[in-house]
Amino acid sequence: MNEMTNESLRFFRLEKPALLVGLAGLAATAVLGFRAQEQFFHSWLVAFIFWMSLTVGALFIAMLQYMTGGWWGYIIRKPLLAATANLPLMLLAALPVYLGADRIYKWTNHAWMEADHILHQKLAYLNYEAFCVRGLVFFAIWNFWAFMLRRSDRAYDATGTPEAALTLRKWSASGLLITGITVTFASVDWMMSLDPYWFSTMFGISYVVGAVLLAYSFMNAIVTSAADESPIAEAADPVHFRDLGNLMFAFTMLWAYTAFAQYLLIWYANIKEEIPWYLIRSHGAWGAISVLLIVGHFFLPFLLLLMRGIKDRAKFLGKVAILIMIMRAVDYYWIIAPNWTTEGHHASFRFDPLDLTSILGIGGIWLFAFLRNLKKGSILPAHASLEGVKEAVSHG
Amino acid sequence: MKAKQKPPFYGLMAEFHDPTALLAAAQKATDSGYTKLDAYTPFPIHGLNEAVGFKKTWLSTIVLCGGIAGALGGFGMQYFASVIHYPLNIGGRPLNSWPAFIPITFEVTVLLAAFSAVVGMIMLNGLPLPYHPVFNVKSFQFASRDQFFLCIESEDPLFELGETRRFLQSLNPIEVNDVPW
Repeated sequence: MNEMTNESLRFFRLEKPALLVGLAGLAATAVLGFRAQEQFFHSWLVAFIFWMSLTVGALFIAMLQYMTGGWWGYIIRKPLLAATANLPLMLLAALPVYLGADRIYKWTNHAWMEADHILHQKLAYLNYEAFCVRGLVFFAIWNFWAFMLRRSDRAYDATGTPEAALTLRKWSASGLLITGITVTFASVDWMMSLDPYWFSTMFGISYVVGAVLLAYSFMNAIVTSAADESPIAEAADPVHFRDLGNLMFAFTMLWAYTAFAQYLLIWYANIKEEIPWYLIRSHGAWGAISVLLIVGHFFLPFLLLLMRGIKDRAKFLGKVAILIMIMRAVDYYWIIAPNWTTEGHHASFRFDPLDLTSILGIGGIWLFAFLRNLKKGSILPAHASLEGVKEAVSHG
Repeated sequence: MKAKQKPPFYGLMAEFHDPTALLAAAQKATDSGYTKLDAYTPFPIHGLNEAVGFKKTWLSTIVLCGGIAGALGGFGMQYFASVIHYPLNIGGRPLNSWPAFIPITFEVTVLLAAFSAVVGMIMLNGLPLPYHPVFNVKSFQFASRDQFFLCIESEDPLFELGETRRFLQSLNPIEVNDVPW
């Protein structure tokens, strides 16, 4: 087993600042949130969804990498596993969402739900007890599979036998299936149910793709920041970064595809329960943010990642990855925040300092824990690839 | 002025056993200043493009143009059909129902981009090409099986039969052959 931990890698220097930002963010959130409790829960939900998506998206990509193999995963495999080790931390971050559900979700009001025929029918699914039980099941499943994946990966690092690789594949295959289903339900619970009338059959897949894109961009941002440092510099050449960029390009297109498909289906069907969701997001400030998403989340990364000159240079690729991460945050904000201010078919835009402090608060602690996890093991897998990287070099 | 004489040979070809040797040889040849050279292998070799000094082609630009033409054409076709040529009121939707046009616009974009990629690649490669001198080397048939070839063409400004042969010999090939026209 080769020990290739290199604590001098540039991104490890973020450890202390991340912890400070995290603590300061949480302290500010506590102080501000005490005086504006409603706003605290609303802001916290966006921050929780952002970092939760990153964590669960990393679990997805890690399993995808073990299933498909391929050279693209070589330098991000260990960071992906380090991110999945943050799942227990995200359970803590989920507590305000579950304990404060009555401040966030209108469907927690039984009397209000029973007064409406359609909503009454949904009570069997949308009730607080079921919501909490489902949440516990989700976290139990994700944590279990992430744990088994990390354990199998350590075993594979130590032995490198085909049996150990097969074990990894088995956990990944079953994990992809069960995580795909549970994350879909989680997206319905956390975000779609904010408007209990509204529904979209594209919502689950759109959420999964968005989470994967976010996690993948984060991994790109991390590894490109240390592209010229050992051992990443020896392991990855420009073509390697082009591969990473190409996959990010594909996920960007996939996100645009699901996001647009959802819009197209709802626009074309023109059903009373479905269209208000888009109506409130097509006027005023929210309309401007919709345009920002179309341009900044699709057209800009699309055109940038079309160019080899950008994909081959780690420095530029990292910047595009950060742009996509920011746009992911805007997208979650755009999905969640208008729900609080909707009146009729309009929603006013109201940015609160808590929106910023909570995402920085969770994020700082998340990043700190992630870097600590990453430091525990080697930065590169002991065995180049499940197929062997030597072959990949000769066959291109 | 004397007309430039056609060199008696197409070039010199060195045969190698494994991809690593070819890669090193190609790199050395480029480093020594040779510019008109090509490598022939049974499968793609990572880094060989750079080693033979292969520059970016126009192919990506051709594909981009094909894609843009597809996007404009695909959308334009639908716009023409449903807004100008045969306007129909469907469920009170606007005639220019652009969200509904996007899937077909996307498909036509991909279609024309893919077509321009294939046709452009064939044309830039100068295909179809019924005759090529490299096949005059007997062992060249193994280029599609398990051998690796590096050919320095006589058009290269540095090409000098004896000197270039000595250079290729110094790369430890299995053998060096003349490539007749």
